[in-house]
Amino acid sequence: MTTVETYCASFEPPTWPERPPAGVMLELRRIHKSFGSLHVLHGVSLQVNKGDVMAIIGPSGSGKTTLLRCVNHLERPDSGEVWLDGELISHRMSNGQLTKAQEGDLRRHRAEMGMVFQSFNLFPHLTVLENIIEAPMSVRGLSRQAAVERAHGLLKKVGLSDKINAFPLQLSGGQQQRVAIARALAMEPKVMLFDEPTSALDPELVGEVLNTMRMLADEGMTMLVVSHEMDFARDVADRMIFMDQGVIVEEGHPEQFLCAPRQERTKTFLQRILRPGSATNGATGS
Amino acid sequence: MDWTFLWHNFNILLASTGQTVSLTIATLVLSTVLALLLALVSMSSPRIVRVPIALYSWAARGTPELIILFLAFFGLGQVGLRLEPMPAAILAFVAFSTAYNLEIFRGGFEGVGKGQFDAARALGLSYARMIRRIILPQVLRIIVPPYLTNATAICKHTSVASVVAVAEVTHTANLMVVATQRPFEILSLAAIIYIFLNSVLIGIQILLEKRLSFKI
Repeated sequence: MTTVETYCASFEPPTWPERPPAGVMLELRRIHKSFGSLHVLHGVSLQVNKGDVMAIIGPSGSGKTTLLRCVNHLERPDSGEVWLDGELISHRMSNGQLTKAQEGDLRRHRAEMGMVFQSFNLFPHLTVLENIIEAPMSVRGLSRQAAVERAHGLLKKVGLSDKINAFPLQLSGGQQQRVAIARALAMEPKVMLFDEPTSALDPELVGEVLNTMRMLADEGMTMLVVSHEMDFARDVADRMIFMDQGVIVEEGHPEQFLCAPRQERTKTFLQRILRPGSATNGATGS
Repeated sequence: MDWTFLWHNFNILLASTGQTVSLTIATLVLSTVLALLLALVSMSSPRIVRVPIALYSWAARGTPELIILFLAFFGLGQVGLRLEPMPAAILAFVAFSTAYNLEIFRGGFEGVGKGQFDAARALGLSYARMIRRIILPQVLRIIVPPYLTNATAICKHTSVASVVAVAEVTHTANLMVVATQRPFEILSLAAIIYIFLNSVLIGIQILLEKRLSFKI
């Protein structure tokens, strides 16, 4: 009797994970990640709606950067799902089985997500123009002419048209980061991931990068931003997340979040980085 | 100073320079290709592949060139693989030069920041494209000085091939010393030829360093 049931059960279709609702651009479900014995992410789940900006804050080592790198699989999560625009990108379905996505699929999905790094990571041996057109040409198959045209438009947008033939090391940090943003935008991504984009900048250069990001948010770009720029988060973010020790401690609207945090850990952290006189630049990241 | 004597013998030595140059170029080309492949493989492979490569590098760098050459010429001959002097010399020189070049390439790849790999991957570049367009040009810039220094060392090491009778500059010079009994002049001429050959390599190094430096 039992044997027959077990036998029949083996023919039942496996339960597919449920697709996120239509308005959701990015969804993470129960993401776990360890490096050796260090358990960095303990089942993190979050949703970002189309056109929304989500800010992630938290102390050093809380897992913010790792979370961001798990989104585009620069780090492969140990378990958990990543959904982008209604598509499951962390897994593939083959022969009725859910298996981890392969490198080729991941590469295609990475191209749909722009990433901006704390240390810019422009290619130092290529000019600004070459930095921007490399991926559109080799990954998207754009003609050189079309890629150059796109680059012109993007450089105008970030206010660096005159630097098109400069090399990265000839630019200031703020200019480099704006080129990095243009380079990511050249792939026409669905989501932009910002990993502490202003933490490596001199204070007087932070504004120009934040303004560029603000402009993107106004245009309706979906953004996931790890940052300690509280003014930016309050003005621009639609949702805010506080992470500590690999879990999301609190999530909410920035206004409520910053003025009336519910969790004790959030309060302590905010008090520490919102000390008078250091309201915008209080902490450095992981 | 007997100028006619010098000029006459210089021309004879010059005729054997071709052998030195071919030996150097063959060793350089083969060891560079092999070292690059081994560096790429060991960079992205599990321990089971990395460890044998590291062991090879360790053994090849720890053995005198002369012993490796004797192994290739006499040693292989003993087990039935008789090589002519020139192929045996190329095999031996590639065997140890690859190890040095491997270490140079490994250092170069490690010298390119992890962020460059991150940025290239985040843009969706394929592995081959990333290595060719983004990583290798930066590796080149880092390795030019040690690589060309090693190249001059290889050029000089080819003189070791004289002991298995490859008719290169040193071997020819030795024969001429025996014939003329004037080692000072003959060996000085040989030295001048090596200095000239290595000047070319050093010149290339200076040129490349200028061309590859990042524009600041």
